[in-house]
Amino acid sequence: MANIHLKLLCAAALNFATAAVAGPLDGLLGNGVDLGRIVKSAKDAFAEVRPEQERAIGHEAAAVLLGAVPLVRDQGLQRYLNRVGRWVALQSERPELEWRFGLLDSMDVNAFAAPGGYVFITRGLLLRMGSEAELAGVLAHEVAHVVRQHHLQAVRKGARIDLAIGVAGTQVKSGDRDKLDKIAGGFKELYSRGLDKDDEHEADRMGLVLAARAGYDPYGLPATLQTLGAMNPQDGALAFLFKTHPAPGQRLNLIDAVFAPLEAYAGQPAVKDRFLRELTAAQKRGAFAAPGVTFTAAVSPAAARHLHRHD
Amino acid sequence: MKRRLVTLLLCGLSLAVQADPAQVIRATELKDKPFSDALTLLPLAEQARVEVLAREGGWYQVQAEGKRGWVRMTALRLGDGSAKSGDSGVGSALQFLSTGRSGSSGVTVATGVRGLDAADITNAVPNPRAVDSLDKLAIAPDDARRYAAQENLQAQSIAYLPDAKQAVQQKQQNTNPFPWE
Repeated sequence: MANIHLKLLCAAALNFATAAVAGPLDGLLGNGVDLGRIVKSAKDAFAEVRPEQERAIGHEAAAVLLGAVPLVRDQGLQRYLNRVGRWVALQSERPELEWRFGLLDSMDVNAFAAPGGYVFITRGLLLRMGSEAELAGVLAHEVAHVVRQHHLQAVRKGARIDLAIGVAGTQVKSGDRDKLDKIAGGFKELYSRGLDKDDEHEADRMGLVLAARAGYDPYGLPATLQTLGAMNPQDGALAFLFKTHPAPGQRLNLIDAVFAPLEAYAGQPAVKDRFLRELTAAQKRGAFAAPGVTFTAAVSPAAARHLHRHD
Repeated sequence: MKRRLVTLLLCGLSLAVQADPAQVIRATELKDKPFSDALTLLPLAEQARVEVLAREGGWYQVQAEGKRGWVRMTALRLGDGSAKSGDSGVGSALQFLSTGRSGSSGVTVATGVRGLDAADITNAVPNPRAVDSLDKLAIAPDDARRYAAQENLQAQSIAYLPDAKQAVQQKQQNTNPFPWE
């Protein structure tokens, strides 16, 4: 079949994707192509995605992120992130995934997840936190995206229907460049656009609970959102985050509305000292050596105070 | 030279308590201690300005109308709710030194440190080897458990929270902004 028809079909499928959810589209659309069948195959594609396939898709999505931003070259700090992250992920419904957490070498403020158990946070975000409870809260938000398969769902919803067709029911092997390129393309678009706002709010609600399940002060995630809300919204380090996420104030309002059951856990440890010890030790090893980065009250108020006390 | 200046300014931090401006977003009370049944020092009206000194769980320690006390985090938003900022002294001097950004004017000075954006993602050449390098940093569940236990973090069994939109609708029928108090 001609390529152009497939493209037209994809455009049509986009328009009808919502309708397809409401009722079956089983009519034939010219040229003997069954639109309903293609929409269905895209919808089904990730409904029964096998774990190893989810992992292969996530691996390529993570490769896109690490192609855009390198990892911080400090094993000690990366291990710290993995210890905290793994503990949080163990409280989720998918504790068995091979969870991998990575600190991205960017002063931009952001965090990402990829299918199959990949979670990333920028050092720009890490340095604005004041405790391990805040770190746990943000990682828990990303873990929630993985647990609920929000990225795969976004594909299923039809926005990336050609990607879904590309990988539907087929093995993705590392040598299969064609399929991997399709996946990479799809995730470039998805990361650039961001997930649905409702998915972000759901990840907030789940993240609060996962951090509390892990024994942390549940106010960590709200505290980070407060910090982000107080930053100058014109700050370039926030531009991408603000483009792809609901505003911090709105997220906090929705969190406030449902927070009550977690109040009972407000006395759990925030783990400030270990967090600041790890950050300042990494700073002394030169982990954050980059133009314009020093621990100051503005970049990391908590770390700056800690460094001063212990110098 | 610059380093000495930074050190000097950092030393100043221990003398001057660093305070962040915040705004009361719904009427609340300044409490003597971070507990809802603690003594009320002052009523705080919506849009009142306070200075945040510290956080303790869901409470911020603040300075308001010359009194120091505690306010629920949920009743405050950090930032002063306006473009201008009365912030001066150590905090903004440090901010300018470190980022080239002036906190008081909100003017952003070019620093050469550019943020991540959609174009970086779109133009990225996938780096699968970097992803594989994460494997040697991976932490086994038992290692994670031991590390958590060092700080006395205890796993809890807690149900997920309901959808916020439904809760907001329910809350509108409830005049108390803090129904759990």
